[in-house]
Amino acid sequence: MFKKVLIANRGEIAMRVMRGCRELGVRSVAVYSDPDRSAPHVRAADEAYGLGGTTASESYLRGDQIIEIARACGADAIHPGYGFLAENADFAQSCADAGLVFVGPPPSAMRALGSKTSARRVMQEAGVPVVPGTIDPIPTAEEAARIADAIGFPIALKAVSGGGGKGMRVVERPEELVTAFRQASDEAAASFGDPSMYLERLVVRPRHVEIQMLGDQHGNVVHLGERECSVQRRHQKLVEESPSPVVDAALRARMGEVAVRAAKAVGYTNAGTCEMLLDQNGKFYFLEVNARLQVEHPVTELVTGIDLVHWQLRVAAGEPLDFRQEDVRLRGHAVECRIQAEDPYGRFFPSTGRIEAVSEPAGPGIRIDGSLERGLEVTPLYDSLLSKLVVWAEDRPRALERMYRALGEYGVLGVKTTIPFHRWLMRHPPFVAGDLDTEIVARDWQPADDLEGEFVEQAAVLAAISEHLGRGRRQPVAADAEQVGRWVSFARRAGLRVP
Amino acid sequence: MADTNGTSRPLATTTYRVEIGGQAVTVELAEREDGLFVRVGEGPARCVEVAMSRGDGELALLIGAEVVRGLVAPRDGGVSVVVDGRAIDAVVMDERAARLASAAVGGRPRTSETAIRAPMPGLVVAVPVEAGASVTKGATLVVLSAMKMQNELTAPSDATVKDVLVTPGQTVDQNQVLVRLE
Repeated sequence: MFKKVLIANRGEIAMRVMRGCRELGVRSVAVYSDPDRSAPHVRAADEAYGLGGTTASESYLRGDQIIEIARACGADAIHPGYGFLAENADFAQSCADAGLVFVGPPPSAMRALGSKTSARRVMQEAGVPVVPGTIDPIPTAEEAARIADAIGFPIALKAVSGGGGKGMRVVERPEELVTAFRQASDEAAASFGDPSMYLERLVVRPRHVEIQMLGDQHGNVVHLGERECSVQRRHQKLVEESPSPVVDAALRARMGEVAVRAAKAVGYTNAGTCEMLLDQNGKFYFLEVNARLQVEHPVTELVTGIDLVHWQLRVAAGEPLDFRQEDVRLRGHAVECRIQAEDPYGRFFPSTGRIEAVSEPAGPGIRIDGSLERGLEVTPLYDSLLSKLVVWAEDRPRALERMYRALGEYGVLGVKTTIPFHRWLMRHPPFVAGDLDTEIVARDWQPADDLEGEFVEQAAVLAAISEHLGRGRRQPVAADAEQVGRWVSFARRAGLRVP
Repeated sequence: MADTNGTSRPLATTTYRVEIGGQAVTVELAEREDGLFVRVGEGPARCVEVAMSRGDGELALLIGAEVVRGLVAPRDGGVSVVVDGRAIDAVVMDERAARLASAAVGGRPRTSETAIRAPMPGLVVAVPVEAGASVTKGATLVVLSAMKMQNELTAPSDATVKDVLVTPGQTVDQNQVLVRLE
């Protein structure tokens, strides 16, 4: 096992990895940007080094500097977390060239999976099901019509340079295709400066279901079941659970077998996720491989009892997996809610500010992966994920009720959060029934002025009594702090708390 | 058992006007020999005990036998309150301050102008409206890129665009006025 690992990340995932390191007796090294000098992940490490810079590209994306720090401090390995450098094959290669272990798949596997086009080609060759369609741009509307007839309707026309649902058009009937192609192509040219289009069979009301994979360097690859991640806004996940309410043992075995085949096709090692679309008839299609630890990995850990961060470090250090596919069992049900600094009543608009107060849930079946604390500045520089609330219970109905309970105990003051949305969802009948698809948030979440009289009254009484007790004003030191800068003020606040 | 009928004579009464969730709620706090009593609007007076008040924002009350707990902390000139995971902003004024505030408003010509401000620092990506245009509630006024996302700022009600103060490509600070509506 390694002696010292540098964690090239921040926030909750850096803390998650550091906890794993500590449990394995490995020293952890934090790196930080200027605004993160006193951030929770820095204090959670054994050693910490500044990267300088403020934005991600000036700090956490500075691969060269991170490698230099790792070498200078005598680290054996670099764990990239997710985001930032996690799926950067060049960075993984640079680590290897510098004699450092990159905790993740080999650069060759990352390259093969890196672009959607090459991943799709590799997967088709390996016999992995992909959504029927074209890979390369289609030159003319007539050619598109010919291909669409072969694939079958409905189809989705997509702009090659588009993304995130932009530049996409659904065509239900053959006679609409030529006109739709020309319009979409003109729009794509106007919006993205590139008229190229490709097309795919439209998967109607798809679910987003993904398979967790884990491979060692001795040729063993297992899957750890699925995660249902259909609850999304702007194509980003808000809630994940395992198992999926619609995946039974037979479907799980088939999806898992496909994911393992996909991993073996590219020589994948370490933890990774095979994302798939599952249609309403139980047919599934390869979407992409996320070559890293996922944000939502805790739900898999809770139902399998397998610590993914431990195993990432162990297989990166050369250890073989000490269990086989048939040893993997799912027990109970786990749900994760992403607590984002966003206003669910304002179209999930990001919210920034200073965290004035926090109270976190506790009790049976609760896990919080987060770095939320009073005094934390939520800035627009980085991701809006504040923490992940994860619960486990014997079955799905109990897990949803436990989550509802835990969300009610979660108080965050200073920024708007997604907590009220999550509470609504946990009792939203289609969600409770397991009837969901990737449009469920856009279709069903219609935040209105639904302030209940009792809620307003309780809040008003709390506010009035707080004022009455003389609590209604900011501490004078906090007012000073605005002029003296955040780090000095932080030091002062921290100093004042010392008895 | 505390007297909830309000028969004993108050030693001191303070009336607070709480602006919360778009409404004004009157909260009357009466200190009597037998304890503190709270009355919301025209409702009954109920005995209230402060079960816990901590510097980190936690506040728990016993109103009669009902437990009411939340987080309360100052924010933007008012306070923010969290109950059952849901946050709401409030402005609390005692009677005197409330009278002063309403006098101040009365002394100034009322304006129906609304300023659309940047809720956070960011980059203006698009401004699909121009001065003089009529917009309906929910219409996109400015697209702001921040926190790795494109965010649409929309009209809070039907209005006319009075001024557009930013252009695409411009970086803006938090609270900077982007568009004025009237």
